[in-house]
Amino acid sequence: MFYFLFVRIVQAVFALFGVATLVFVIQHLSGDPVALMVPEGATAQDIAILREQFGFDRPIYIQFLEYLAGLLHGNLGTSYIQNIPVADIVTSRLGYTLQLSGAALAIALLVGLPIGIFAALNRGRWLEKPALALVLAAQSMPTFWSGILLILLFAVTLDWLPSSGAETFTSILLPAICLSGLTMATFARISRNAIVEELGKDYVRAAYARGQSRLSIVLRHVSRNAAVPMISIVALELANMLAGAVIVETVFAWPGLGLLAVQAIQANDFLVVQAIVLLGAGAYIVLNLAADLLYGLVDPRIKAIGG
Amino acid sequence: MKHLILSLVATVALLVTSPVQAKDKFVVDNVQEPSSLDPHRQWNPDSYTVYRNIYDNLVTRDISGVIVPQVAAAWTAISDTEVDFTLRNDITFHDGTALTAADVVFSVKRITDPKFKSPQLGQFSKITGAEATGPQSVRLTTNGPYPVLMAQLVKLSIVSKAYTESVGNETLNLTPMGSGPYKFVEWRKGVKVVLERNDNYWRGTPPFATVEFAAVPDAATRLADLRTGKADLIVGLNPDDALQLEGLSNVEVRSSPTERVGYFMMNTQAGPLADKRVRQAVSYAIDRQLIIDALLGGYSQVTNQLLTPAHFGYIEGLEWYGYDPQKAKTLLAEAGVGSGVEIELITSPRFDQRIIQAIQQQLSDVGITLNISMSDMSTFLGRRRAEPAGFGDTVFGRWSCACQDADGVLYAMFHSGSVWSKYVNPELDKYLEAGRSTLNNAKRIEAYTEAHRIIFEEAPSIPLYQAAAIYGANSALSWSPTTNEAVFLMDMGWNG
Repeated sequence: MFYFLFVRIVQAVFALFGVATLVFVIQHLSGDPVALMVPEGATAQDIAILREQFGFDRPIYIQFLEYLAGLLHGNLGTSYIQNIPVADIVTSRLGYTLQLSGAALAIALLVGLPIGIFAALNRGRWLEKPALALVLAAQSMPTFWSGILLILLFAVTLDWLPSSGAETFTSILLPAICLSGLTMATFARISRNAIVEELGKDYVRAAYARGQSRLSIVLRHVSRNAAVPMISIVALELANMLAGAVIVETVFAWPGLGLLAVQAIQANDFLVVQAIVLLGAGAYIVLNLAADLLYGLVDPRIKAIGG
Repeated sequence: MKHLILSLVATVALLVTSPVQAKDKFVVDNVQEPSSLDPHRQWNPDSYTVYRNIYDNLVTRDISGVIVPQVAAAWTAISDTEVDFTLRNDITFHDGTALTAADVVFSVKRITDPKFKSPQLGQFSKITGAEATGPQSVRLTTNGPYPVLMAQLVKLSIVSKAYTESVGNETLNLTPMGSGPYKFVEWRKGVKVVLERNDNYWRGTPPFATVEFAAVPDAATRLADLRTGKADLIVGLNPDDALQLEGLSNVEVRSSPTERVGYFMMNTQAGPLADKRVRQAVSYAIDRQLIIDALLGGYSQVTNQLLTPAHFGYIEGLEWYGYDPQKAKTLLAEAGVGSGVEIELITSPRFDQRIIQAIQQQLSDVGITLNISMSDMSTFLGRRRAEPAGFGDTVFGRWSCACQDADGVLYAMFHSGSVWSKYVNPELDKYLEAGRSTLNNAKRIEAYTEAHRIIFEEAPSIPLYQAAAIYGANSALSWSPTTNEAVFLMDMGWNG
């Protein structure tokens, strides 16, 4: 168990190093923030002075080593554009992203799982059709479009909810519903398929033979076995959301990491982009590890030892 | 498709009108949050729209665009390189301390110090000295005669020396403190900046008790904010967005021509466009009025020079090549390229691709193939500022020097020493240098008249249109947008 954890942590460090290197190189390939910072008409001399002051005129490997050294000391640097520490910028947005992802995940689970179970229990019957249609719609509607529709209906026409921002408790509802759509559909499909598969197994027939009701079989036995594929999907979906719900945050002006990432990429604000990507990669790694460990708890036959 | 569905939904929503009343809280929807609230760092609309209401500037422009006193009550040029400013003595910062010559000198030195790394450095780097000649008087020295000095000083906000030195740059950025009509209250990162009225403001009582600048990147969401009454003024609309406000009650479109000029620049140093007949043919092939009517909703205006009436150096009544595809074909034949010539256009998604595609179509009608090379903004800017050999053949852009002076446009665009220029002409260089090295306005106009003549004859760049800025506003708001795209709260109020 400890050996397993040790191996995974070493792997994680290498993965993060790889991500940091890749992002650093890709960003430097396309120029530096000074190019975008200076106004139209700036002279070659103006640009050269600023590049020198920011240190962009030095060899790229020196800039990279300096960046890595900063990372090892827990220093993410200072934003070139905003001129405040990157750690402050990212943490000021992290809370919003956690709230939005948490709310969207809760909605996706609360709606997606019951639909999945309902569809599985009614497989092949007409009752399944509207449920699957809802899933299909949620899955195929692009968020930039469904987001605007939600705003026009609930904010402009009905005047029930705020149209944008993060001011009141109700502000989170529209973006969370919008963001949950695709995840909800994924949960519904995966849980339906997993339950359908389990329902065909011998232990289910045996349970029927013992006279248990169908609902009790599904809730007590089938759902537990069907949960294994769900765990990794939930972990991946949550990691996806944490990495930034770029479009949803843009449409609803929700001040999370996705919106920050877009702004930082547009301004070539290297250090902010790197911090967000590292955070996203870290979230993936940690959540995947958590999923691997949870398998063992849900299904004791799966042993974590040896990976 | 998106617009079609939106307009359908909008039509349904028309039945419901939103309650919009005059109120104490005024909300502006910007596109992004400010990059910085330190007025000596970033100069971009999302930032200066906010901080210019917290600070006073040394001088400013009135609604008609004339440079008028603000912190400086008067100024006189005592030589070609020295200007004396007399400051008002009734201005106090929000912390109650008086604004003095020391603050002005500090502000100039701060923004011109290369170590401070201000992106605006280049606009003030001609200022080589700033000294207090009395408690309320300042002398600025420039490196040679600098006729654009006053136009650049419009952008210089005055910060408090004592406050900045005691709290440091980072705190000044996050909790700005100036002498302007509005006091800083709170910056909720990513959400909004909140300001409150400065009751002791020297120019009178500001109109709204509190003001919020929100960051709302999606134009459709800004429109929804305006319609629900969540926002009172929204910026950054395009003509399609503006259409959605038509016929609605309580909200309306406000627009103004700006000092941005849409242009199509050609590389005169390499490729087929080195022949001026080909460049003139390109100009004859482009129907500028059609582009404005069909794509820009009629908000912009054709311009026959690379300046707008808002610029110093704009000459009334200049001519440009009209739309004449037949003439274009004749010129191409004369130049020996006939049909089948291919040229490249470099661009990035931030530019209006519809205009580029329209030009592509119009050029193809006369037998010129325009290949569009799209890249991210910084790669694009790298090529835009590259030597002519690495530039490509053409570029479409909207030029703004934010200084409303020919020097900020023509020198940067066409002087052979500028990284933005793809044109070399010693005669033009001479006039552009003359235009920036005398304080005599008549001589400057003379030089720019010659410069316009050469640019017309040689056609290194085609002036397309004077771009407009389009806003959406609560109908009860009394405010007219200005050419320099300033959002000064002191110029606003509620009707009635």
